[in-house]
Amino acid sequence: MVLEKTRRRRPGPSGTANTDRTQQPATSPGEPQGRTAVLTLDREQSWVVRAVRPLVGYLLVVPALAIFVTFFYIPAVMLFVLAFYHWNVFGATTFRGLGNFYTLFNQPLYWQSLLTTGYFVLVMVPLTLLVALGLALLLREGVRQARGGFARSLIFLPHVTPLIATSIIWVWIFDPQFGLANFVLTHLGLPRLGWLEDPHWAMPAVMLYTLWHSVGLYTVLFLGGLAVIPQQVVEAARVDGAKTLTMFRRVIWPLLSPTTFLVLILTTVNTMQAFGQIFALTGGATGRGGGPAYSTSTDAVLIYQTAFTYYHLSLAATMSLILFVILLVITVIQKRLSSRWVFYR
Amino acid sequence: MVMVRVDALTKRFGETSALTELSVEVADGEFFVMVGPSGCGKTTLLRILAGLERPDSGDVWFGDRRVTTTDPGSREVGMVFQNYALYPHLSVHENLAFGLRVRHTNRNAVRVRVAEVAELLELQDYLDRKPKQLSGGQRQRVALGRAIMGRPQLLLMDEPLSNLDAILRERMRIELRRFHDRVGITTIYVTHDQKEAVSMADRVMVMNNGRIEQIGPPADIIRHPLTEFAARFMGHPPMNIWRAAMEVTAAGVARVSDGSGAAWTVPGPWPTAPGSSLDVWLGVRPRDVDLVGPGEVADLTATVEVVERGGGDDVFLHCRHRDETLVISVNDGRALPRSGDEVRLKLRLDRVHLFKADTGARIHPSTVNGHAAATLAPLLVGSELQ
Repeated sequence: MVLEKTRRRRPGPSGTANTDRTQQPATSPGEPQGRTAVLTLDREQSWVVRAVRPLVGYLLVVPALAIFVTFFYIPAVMLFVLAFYHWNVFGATTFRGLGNFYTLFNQPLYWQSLLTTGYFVLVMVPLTLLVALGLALLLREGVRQARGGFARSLIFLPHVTPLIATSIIWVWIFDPQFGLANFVLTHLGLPRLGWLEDPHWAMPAVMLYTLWHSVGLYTVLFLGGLAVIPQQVVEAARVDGAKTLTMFRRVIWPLLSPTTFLVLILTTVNTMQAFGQIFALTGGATGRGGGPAYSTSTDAVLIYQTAFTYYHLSLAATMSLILFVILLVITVIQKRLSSRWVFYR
Repeated sequence: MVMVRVDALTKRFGETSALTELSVEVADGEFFVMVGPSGCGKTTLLRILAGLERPDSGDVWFGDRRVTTTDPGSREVGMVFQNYALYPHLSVHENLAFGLRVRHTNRNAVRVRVAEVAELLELQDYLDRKPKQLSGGQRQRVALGRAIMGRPQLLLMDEPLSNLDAILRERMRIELRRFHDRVGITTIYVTHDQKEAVSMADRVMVMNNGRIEQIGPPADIIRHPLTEFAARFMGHPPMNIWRAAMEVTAAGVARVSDGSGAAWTVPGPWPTAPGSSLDVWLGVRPRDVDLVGPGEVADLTATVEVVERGGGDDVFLHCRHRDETLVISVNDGRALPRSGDEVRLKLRLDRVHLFKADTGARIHPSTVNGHAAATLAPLLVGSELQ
């Protein structure tokens, strides 16, 4: 079966399939004349071109690689080293071994920040997934029946707005006295909320903003995923008697699973690292950070404060390292589990 | 099994009309093929029969049941799609079982039916495979199996063979026809390939621009096309058709001339009054043109451009007659003209077709074997061409 396939894909003298690959770059003199145009051209090229040719690929990736190495990989490695030292910019650098970890694990605030992060992630990931998928399904129907392109742009728009600028606008929206949020609530006959100033409501407010800002991206991803589901397969299911719910559960959902998996990974990573909007919404201006009673102090926010408010750079490095490991573990677990429910065509 | 009736069906997509006031009846157990060029409305009609599209007006009847607005899933139809449209994430077994599962059929009954259909289509060895792991022909059979799982009353097929290679296509044509004869299910089949239509159909419906050009047994349509379009579309190689003028003489015969000096006398009787003249399409099939020797009387001369060998005994001469290319079917084995040779041709006048130049409609009564078509028609439908 497999053999048959390979043979059909690369027509040519049988048995050359193996040698083909190794011989293509360097032209051997024994090659029959004019087998392909590319090979003929090769032979006419000067030795310079031939010498450089294998390196071209590397040369092309050098600029991008240089930037990544300088601004990402080197700092990342330095951070991992720093996590085991004591360094607060001004003083001497001393090796602490696991001392930073010991300090952290004895800090109730650190544990609280992990819990807050967990709260944020556990609510945001399913919420974003559901809302994005729901919007995508509605939009697809809209696109088919009338003009959904405009609505799609509207939903995507928040994602391209600057995080800090729109966060500040949402600070106004959440203003307990004059904000739009409470205006809407009172008109619905509901009690006013303290929003960003209330320890219980600060996090939901941040979540609301985050959903507004990010859901467009995931909606568009889902729309893409829906678009590649073959229409004929859906129609076949209709002829087979599948109604809306069955159709979704047994055809759409399984065929959409690669997209769902992608969205799952992206939302997890993005919410675990969320910082900008939290900082801007809860205390960026006041320098407090982390909201009332540290209610929005996620890991990322605490790392920022530790590093740039208190200049415990090494302690922040340790926290970053732990966050990295947590993210890595979660992603690996998700990837492992994915083989059970993600179907790649 | 059911008789299908379509009544004054109209369907528009925006500005373009896909179907215009189309009515047709398909008999119980019939293998009915809808054929036409792409965009002629044949697939739209099939999708309306499946319930995947709603007509703008008109009705669809399955037997006594009006199903115009019935859900596809409640119509008891099976459908085979052009790209098979198998569920890619499900195994062959699950693909077959899908419809029954959705309808909450008892688990054991599903297993029994899957085994039955798998045996019928020789799919037993592939039940655990995913569609990706199957060859084109195997996918085709799974698609067919899935379509008949629920014992539908009507089987719809939308160009099911177009994705197969030529050899497999020929074989599947026979397989499908044999399958139909064994199961006896009413089958409506869409194709753009007149060859498929001819080789499989009990009756063919030739469509063009959302309208019916002609319905009938394939051999009927080939011998007695009712429109210029049907004449061009059906039969291989296609009929030679070129412009001519026709004049009915006082004797009731038609004088046909194409301006090249060639003229033919075609026996009538003709419905038009004597003396009237008419622009026509003159049509003659490749096998109804004879090469004539130097001593005999010829209708016209032409220059051979290409000598095409059909593989068997058939040789097709593509000849130039003024601005037209005429194809002539001759038997191999004799002294064949070569490219560039001048040939003298004679039309078999009893096999000449005349269509009105403006509407394309056949001019009645035509001549088939020298008889008026009006008297011949019932005979053709009945026995002669079965």
